[in-house]
Amino acid sequence: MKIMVEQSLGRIGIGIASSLALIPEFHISFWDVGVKPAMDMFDEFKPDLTVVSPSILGNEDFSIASSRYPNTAVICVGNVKDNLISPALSINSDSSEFPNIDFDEGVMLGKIGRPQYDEALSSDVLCLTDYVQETKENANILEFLSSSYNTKIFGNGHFNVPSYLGIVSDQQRANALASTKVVVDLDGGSSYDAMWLGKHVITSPSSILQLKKDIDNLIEEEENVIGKIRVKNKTYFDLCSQVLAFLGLRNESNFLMEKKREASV
Amino acid sequence: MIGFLLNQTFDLSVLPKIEKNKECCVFSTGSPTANFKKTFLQTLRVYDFKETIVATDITTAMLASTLMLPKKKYYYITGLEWVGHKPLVYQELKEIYLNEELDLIVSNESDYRIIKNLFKEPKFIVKNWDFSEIEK
Repeated sequence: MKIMVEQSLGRIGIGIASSLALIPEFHISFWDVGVKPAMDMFDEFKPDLTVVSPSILGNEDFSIASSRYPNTAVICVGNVKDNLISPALSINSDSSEFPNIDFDEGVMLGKIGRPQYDEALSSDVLCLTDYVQETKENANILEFLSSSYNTKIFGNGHFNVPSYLGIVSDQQRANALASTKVVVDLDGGSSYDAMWLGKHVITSPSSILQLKKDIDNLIEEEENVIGKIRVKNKTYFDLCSQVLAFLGLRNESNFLMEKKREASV
Repeated sequence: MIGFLLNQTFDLSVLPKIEKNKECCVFSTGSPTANFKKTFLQTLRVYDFKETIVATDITTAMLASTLMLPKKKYYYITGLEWVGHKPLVYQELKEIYLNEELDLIVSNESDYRIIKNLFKEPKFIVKNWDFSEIEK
């Protein structure tokens, strides 16, 4: 099965792609809309499934290309409006015109795998910047973390602080999560991955003072059992399993649930 | 004897500080000042050097890590070079700062804390290029 995921979907696109990529015979590619016209994408890749943002559904080129490939299922991530074609399924849409799955955020199990503690990656505080905007406010938070704690910062988002150590592989990212005490989530998603691994998380700190208080409280705490329970069924494997079941791909849906069980052990 | 590996565009102000070390030489593809009193050799000569070698930045640290002959290899960290470097890839930093071939030396207490937390514990704090303590 060939699946095309729009590249600009961000974390949710990566979450879906990294989950589906584990299924045998599933081939995942990313579509950069700015580089490849819709018609070329369809003609060259001939996808069985496309996962796109709402703006694509209002795109005339995509609408025409999609009509030439009626067997290609279209799934839309986000609130669908002003659409020229209807998706087979939407994720996080208010519209009642088509089936919808609500999914705020979740654990990217496909990227976490089975991480191990790594002394070289260990820290008291960890921040992952893959989807963090390079704003002054975020820079100030990271500057504070860098100067006040044994902090490590990894990811694609670049910040000029000593603790920012650059881009890491998925395995290194997962091991860094497994080797920290507190995760400061500035992207709204990495906290799910951290909670899956029983780590304490701080999301959207209201002020530096509050952030310091929270870190000082959490740094000595044991495993975050409540957090683990909270995200137990909020994984991209769950989302993709639902999507596959909706598309009638029962075996593949069950395969992901089995993978989730393996990851939970 | 300590050999200092300097990059091509090294800061000339370090030469008088290096000079104060009793037995030392410099390897570089750059040029010394006219009044530099110690031995100044082309970088290529470092491959024959058997004494203690001290790399002084990331590029010379990469070279030092590959040398077979020196009895001891250090990377003297005088600044947090990776800050602001773009794109920054952790694996590349790891290969330098966590390289088992190289022991780290820092120039102040603040860098000691940072390097210890981020990579590994530095062996020494050497202030102002005075390596007399290490030579003992």
